[in-house]
Amino acid sequence: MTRRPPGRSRPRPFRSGQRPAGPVRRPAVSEVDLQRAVRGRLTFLFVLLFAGQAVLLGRLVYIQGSQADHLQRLALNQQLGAFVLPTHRGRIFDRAGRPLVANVEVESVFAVPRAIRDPQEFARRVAPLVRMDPREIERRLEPHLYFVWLKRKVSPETAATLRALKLEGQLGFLDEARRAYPNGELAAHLLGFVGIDNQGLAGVELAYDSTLQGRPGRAVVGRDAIGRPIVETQRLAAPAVDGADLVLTVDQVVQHIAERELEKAVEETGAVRGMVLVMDPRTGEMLALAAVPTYNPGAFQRVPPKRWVNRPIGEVFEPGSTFKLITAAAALDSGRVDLTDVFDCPESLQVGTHRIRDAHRYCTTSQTLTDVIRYSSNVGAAEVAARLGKERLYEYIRRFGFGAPTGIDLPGEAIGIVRPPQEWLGPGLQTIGFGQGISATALQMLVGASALANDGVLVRPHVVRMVRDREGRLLQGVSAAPRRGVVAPEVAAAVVRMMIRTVEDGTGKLAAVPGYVVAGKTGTAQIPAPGGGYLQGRYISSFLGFTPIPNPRLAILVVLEEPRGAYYGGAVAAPLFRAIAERALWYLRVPPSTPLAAPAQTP
Amino acid sequence: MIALDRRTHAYPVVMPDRRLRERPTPRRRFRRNPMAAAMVVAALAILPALLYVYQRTEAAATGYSILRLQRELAGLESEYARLQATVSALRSPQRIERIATSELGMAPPRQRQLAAITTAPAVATSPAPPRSLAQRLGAWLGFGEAQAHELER
Repeated sequence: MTRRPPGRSRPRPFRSGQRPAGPVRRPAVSEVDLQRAVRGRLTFLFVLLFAGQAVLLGRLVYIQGSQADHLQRLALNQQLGAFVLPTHRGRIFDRAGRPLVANVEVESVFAVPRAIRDPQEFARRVAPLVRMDPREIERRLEPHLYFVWLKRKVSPETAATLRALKLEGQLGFLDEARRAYPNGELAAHLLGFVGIDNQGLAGVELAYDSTLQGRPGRAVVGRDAIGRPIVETQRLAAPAVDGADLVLTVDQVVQHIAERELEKAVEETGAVRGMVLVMDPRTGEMLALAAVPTYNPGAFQRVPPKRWVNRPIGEVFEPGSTFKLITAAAALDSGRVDLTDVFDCPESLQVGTHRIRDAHRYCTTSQTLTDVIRYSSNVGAAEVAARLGKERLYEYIRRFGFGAPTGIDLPGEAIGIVRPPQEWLGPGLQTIGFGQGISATALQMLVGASALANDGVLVRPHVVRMVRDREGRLLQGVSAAPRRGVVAPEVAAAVVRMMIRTVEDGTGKLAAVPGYVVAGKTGTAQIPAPGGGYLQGRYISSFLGFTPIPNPRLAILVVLEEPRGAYYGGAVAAPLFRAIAERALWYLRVPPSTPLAAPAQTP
Repeated sequence: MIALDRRTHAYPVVMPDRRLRERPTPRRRFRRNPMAAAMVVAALAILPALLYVYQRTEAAATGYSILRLQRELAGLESEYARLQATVSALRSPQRIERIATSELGMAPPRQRQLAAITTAPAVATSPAPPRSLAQRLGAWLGFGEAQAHELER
């Protein structure tokens, strides 16, 4: 501070309106006044600072104290996110490890309605690409929603086209796993299919849904400012467990042979429908299960639901003459009939008001049980059934597994219709003896008859061989148990011999496979009419056989429904059996047991 | 200091003019140069913090790398599954048969084109006699192999 030089008078204040010339001079203050002023200002400043600090401190205490929990929760909710760890649905392989069902990642399309300013324009642009009605898209775009599915699991091409629209913020994509059936329609009825959320809806996919599904995991993770997960903040609440893989008993190639030959036979015979079952009679392992018409499990919605039914196990039919095998086995095992017994061979058999006839009369005087099977005599089978009696025949029918589920590991199995003996009215006993008046599934028929090829022991059919984890380690093996004997081994062998005669020089000649011994039985059944009686001119042709004998590897049942023209099982179904058995035996490298014809000489 | 005083009293000697330089204690040094002391303290305080920040930054960077690799892995797994499905589709019996019959003109063999061949049962070969230590040593050195080559000629 400069002191005013002596002699200078205090500057006089200038009058208003006048401005003195030269620099403005401030009025002089005393040092005491100055100190006082400074002290006062400092005090004010300190008070202000302390007050500010006190307010801040109070706010801090308030936030960190009473509001701490609430704010912490808010922050955690904002930063941390719990999410579900997805699992892989188990794959399905054939018995040789070839994939039948796999998973592929595809994209699903969603919209953000709140971000869409013009829903009509949006729908107009997007609808043709996702193959939807624009009005349907508009209906879904409710303005208050942040998320709405547009189309699940679209093809990569569709996703690329949608991306090209550049509707960022309005349209989004999420990865999802889709079931892929690389073989198309192969084994469709057996494999089944899944819904949009990969939940099993039919076939093996449904029967083993819990095994295939796995268990989704849960995790918590913090996210950074732009929403990326912060890895070090990840906390696993529950690990995800992938679904187990299934190895089926089905052989892809045998299945293909069965389907190919069945389709060909259905086309050639003009049959409405057809089915083929191939089983290992010793273990109950199903090698093929085919039905025509079929569908693609990857696009099951495109066919009527009726076609989804696994008819070989889910629909019943009157088996017809193939059932004579059961009658013959029951007659021999019960001791009511002997192999040397001779039956009358009338042109027809009168039972009450009903007359039973044979399709073709092959004998004039008498016939043995072997002849009854070999020539498929209805009259002879009726006589055998009459000798057995209702109670005893019913007991054997149940023993062979008719009227009860076989226990196959597939959903939707029918149990068939086996009425108690008290309800066998009129010629019921006799007609059941040759397979009319009783209903069974194709699988029941095959399993029951296969006991004859397995020393009289009934096996449980199954389609899953083992359950493995994703790395291929065995988790669970499926055995053929339970097994139970239904007839004596020698009885079973005797019936099989009759079946061999049937193929050698009986009704099943067209089923013979060169080089192999085949045992089989033809079947031609009428179709029951809804109001009673049978439909005229409509038949179910079938053939049931085992090969090679001895030690059969294949038990095959073929069924053709309502063929046009020829309809006898021996004429229509036996050639189909032969075609399947021949190819399957070659494929399975089963050596022929009888000499083959000499190879053709090449020029 | 106390020790020096005692020695002076016990043995009076002419002490040099130069005063003995006392080694300053750290506290004195800090008092003389408080700025340096503050720097040291600040460095000591800040260094761990810097290290901590560096560590956190590195962890975050590594986390993002892991995230990127996880996405890459998921993408590769997805691609692998897609390729597996494609391979299965290409190997499907229907497709192979269609190509074989329609494009390559192949047909299933007819019955007369097949012949069953009887193969002789496999003859069990006797195991090689155990070799002596000298033979094994010779083989290891290469002599045995040389002999074998000579025999082959």
